[in-house]
Amino acid sequence: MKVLAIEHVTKKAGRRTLVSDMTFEIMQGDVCGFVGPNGAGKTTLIRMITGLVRPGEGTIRIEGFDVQRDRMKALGQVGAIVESPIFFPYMSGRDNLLNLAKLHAGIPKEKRAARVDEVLATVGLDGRGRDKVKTYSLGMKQRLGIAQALLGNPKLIILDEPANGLDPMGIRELRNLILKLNQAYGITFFVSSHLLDELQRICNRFVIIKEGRLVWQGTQEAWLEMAGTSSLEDHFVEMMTT
Amino acid sequence: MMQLLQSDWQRIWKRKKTFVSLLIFVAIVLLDCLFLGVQSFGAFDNVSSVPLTAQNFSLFLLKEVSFFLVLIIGPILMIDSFNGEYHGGQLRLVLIRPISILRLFAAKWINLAVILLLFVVVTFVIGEGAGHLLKPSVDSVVYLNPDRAYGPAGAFLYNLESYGLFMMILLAQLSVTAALCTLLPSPIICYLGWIGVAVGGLYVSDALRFLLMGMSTVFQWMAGRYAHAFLLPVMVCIFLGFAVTMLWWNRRNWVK
Repeated sequence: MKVLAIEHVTKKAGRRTLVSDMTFEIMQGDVCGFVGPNGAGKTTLIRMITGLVRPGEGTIRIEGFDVQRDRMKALGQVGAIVESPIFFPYMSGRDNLLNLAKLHAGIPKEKRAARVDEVLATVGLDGRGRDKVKTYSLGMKQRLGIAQALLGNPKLIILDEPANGLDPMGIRELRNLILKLNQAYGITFFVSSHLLDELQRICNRFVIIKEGRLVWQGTQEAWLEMAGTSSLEDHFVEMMTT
Repeated sequence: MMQLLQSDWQRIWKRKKTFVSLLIFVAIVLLDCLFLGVQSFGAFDNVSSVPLTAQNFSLFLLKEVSFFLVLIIGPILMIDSFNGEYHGGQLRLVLIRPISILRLFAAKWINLAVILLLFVVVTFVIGEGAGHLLKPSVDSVVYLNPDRAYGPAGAFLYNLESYGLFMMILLAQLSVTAALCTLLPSPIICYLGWIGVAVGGLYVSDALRFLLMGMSTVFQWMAGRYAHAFLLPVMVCIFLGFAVTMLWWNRRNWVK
């Protein structure tokens, strides 16, 4: 079943084309790596998927709902970290989540606190939930970012460069968390990152873009087969330079 | 809508700036009470003044604090909510929720209007209380128009109406600032933009002088001496600014 469908999406800024006629799909249960060099249009596309930026042309559907026409229904299925998650530093992690939980019609008032405690426990922040966000490390902020993405019981989680600034232990924690959420709850992930080795460990599918255009999409097995004896990193560099 | 209002309200009051602004504002109101308490006359402008009494004290208190409200506290709160939160990146976590952007803007506008009303009500209550504590009560009081005298009840209603008109000016400022905050990139530029609009309004048309000279306009309007349209430009600013910004929010790209 299609969770995310990108259909002929184009976005221009002035004369510059940021995303050009992009079309691909992500199926339920996928962990899809979204890769491309800097400036390829990854963040622009993620902003369009999360309703922050309007596509110039084309349609983005989440669980069948058009993000532009059925914004509330479409975004009700999504949790996301777009670039770095920036929280309100003067509030505790728990208060931040309680504040954001108010914006989910699907979480009744009497269940908000329980839901927040549940997602804090899922990301391993239950012991620090009542501390102010300004006291958190970068890794803790990323985990809180995933916690806010989980609030509305999403079917799809979009992560934009989630490993940015994380140390190796933080990256490992993040990897384990994504795998746990995917395997235990069946959540579909769409992860943008430059860390191909990391993506190779968690993703079953890849979408590769360059200069706003789709270059290749398929399963990890297909990419490995195409790369032959080269590593994915070497093959990716080759794709980007030819 | 109620959840949006609650969520935004919580964020507004969790900001230190809001609480500190309220404390500073109350301190300034109290200091102005002491200042007016030792004055014998209240001045409408450079030439017109009347004896200060318990009945007109709150009106002159509003005149004293109005510049502070229009030029410092008001813009700080408005720009923080409409631009600062977005510019800082925190609004992104709100915008990616399953919410209506139109309602989000409306919620922010309504919350700020309520907070501005709170500031105005605090001034009125303290002004009425301090007036009766610090100044003698009289049977008849005049304002800018010496031909019209008011008894205690009439003076109270006169003050109330003046406060109401000033509140409408603040709402006009709120809508104009919301539009500026959508157009301009950073909080500091938004603040400079607001000052530019308020000062520039004096040169563009006398009908826009209320943006900077709010209390002067209210005094003259209440005295029947204001030569320009008052309610129409105020209403146009409130509703046009609100509607245009709301539609703009719904169509814009959120790239911060």
